[in-house]
Amino acid sequence: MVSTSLAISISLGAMSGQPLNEFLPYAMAGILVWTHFIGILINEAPELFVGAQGSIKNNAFPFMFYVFRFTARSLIIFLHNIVVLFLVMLCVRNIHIPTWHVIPATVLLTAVVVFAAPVVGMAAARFRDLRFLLPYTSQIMFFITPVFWRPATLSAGKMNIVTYNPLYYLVDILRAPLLGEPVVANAWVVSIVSLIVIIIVWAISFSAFRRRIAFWI
Amino acid sequence: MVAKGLEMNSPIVRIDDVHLVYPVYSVNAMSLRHSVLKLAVGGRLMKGRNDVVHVNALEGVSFSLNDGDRLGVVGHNGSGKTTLLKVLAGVYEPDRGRVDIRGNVASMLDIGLGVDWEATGVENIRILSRLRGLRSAEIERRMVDIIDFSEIGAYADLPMRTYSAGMSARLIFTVATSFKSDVLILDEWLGAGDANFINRVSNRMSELVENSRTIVLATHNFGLMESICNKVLHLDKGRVKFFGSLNDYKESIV
Repeated sequence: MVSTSLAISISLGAMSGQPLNEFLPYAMAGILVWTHFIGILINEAPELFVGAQGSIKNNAFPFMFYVFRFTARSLIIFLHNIVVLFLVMLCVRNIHIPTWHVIPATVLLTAVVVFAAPVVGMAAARFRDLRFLLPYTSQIMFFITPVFWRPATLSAGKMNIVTYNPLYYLVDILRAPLLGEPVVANAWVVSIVSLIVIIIVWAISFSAFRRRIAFWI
Repeated sequence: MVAKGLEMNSPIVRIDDVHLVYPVYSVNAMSLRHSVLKLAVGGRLMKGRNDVVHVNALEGVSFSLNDGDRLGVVGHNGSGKTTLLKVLAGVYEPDRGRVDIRGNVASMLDIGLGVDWEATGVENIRILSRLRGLRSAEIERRMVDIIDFSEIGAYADLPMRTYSAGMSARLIFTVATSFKSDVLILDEWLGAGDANFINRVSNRMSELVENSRTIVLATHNFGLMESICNKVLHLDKGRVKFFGSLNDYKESIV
C-alpha cells in the first residue's frame, strides 16, 4: 500500500508538477480508502464463501458470520494502515488534522462492505469465472475514479466521469475528513443512496439464493 | 416406511417428509461467460448438454429420535446418507418438509472441514471449540484431556498438515465429543481411526449416551454401528427402506 502510493505519487506528482508533500497524503489516503472499502469488494469478496467452503459444508453458521469476519479483518488492517498514513504525513512535513466526519464515514463504508460483499460472494460462488473477471474491472474503476488524481485536473467536458461515479463520493466521504478537508457537495447524499440501493439488492438476492450457497461451493 | 406410534412426548430430532433436490453444476454452468454466451445464442449451440444435473437426494424422509437414541444411518454409496446428515446439521435447507431439532448440534461431517491445516493441533482445538461458542477458559481446562484422548502426543504443537489421516480424525472426533451438545452428527470417516481407537470411541460413545445426547452416525461398518447404535435408518436412493430398532433391523436382513 505504501509502496504503491509512493510510486504513484512520485511519477504522477512529477508529471503534474505537484509537490510530493501535497500529493502523497492525498494519493495515499485515497488508495487506503479505496483498497479497504471498494477494492476488497472486487478483489477479495469473490473468495468470501468459496474460501470458507470447509466451514460452510460442515457447520450451519449464518452466512453473515463469514461476512462479518471478512469485514472485521479488513477494518483492522485499515486501522493499521491509518497509522502509516499519519507517519508518512509526518515524514513529508504536511500533517492534516482529521475532522469528526471520519467516524460516520467509516461506519457508512463498513456498512457498504457488509451488504455488498455477500452479494459479490454469492455471485462468485455461482459463477466461478467472476473471480477472474472482476479484478480487471477493478483496474478500470481504480483509474477512472479520482483515487489518486484530483477531479479539478479534468477538463470541464470530462467532468461527467466524476460527477456520475458513485464510487468517487464513497471514497471522498472518508478521504476528505481524513485530510481535514470538507467533503464534496452531495457526497453524503450519494453515499447514503448507494448504501440503500446495496441493502435492497442484498435483501432480495440474499433471501432468494442464500440456501443455494452450500450447493454452489 | 415411516415409524408410527413411537411413544414419545418430545422428540429431540424430528424429520418430517423431507425432500431435497441436489443441483450439480458442470464446469460450463459455473462460468458466467458461458452462461451469457448461451443466452446470446439461445442455447442452441449447447443443446443436448446437461449443464445442471438435479439429483433427487432425499425423497420423503421422515423419522424422529428421542433422548438417548443413537441412530445408525446405513445404505449404499450415493443413497443419501451424507445429504441427510447435512440436512440435520442445517448445512442444507430441505426443498420440502420440516426439520425440527431441539437443542444444539455438533457436526463432524467430513474430516478436515473447518480445520486450518497450517495451524497446530492445539490451535485447531481452540479454533474448532471457539467456533462452537465455547469460552477460552473452558477450552484450556479441557485441553490436556483432549490431547490425551486423541493420542496425538507431541504432535499437538506441530501443524496439522503433518498429521496422518488417523491422527486428524482422532483429534477432530475428540473435539466434537468433548463438549456437551444435544445432537452429535458423525459421518463415516470415523473408520479412519485404528482398531484400538475405535474401541475407545465406543466407550466414549456410551459416556455420551449417558449424558442423554442423541447421536446420528452414518457408517458402512456394521460392527461399529452394532456397538454404538440402538436404532437404524436404512436409506435406498434417497428413500427410507427401514427405520426401527437395531434388533428389528437385524431380523429383517437375516
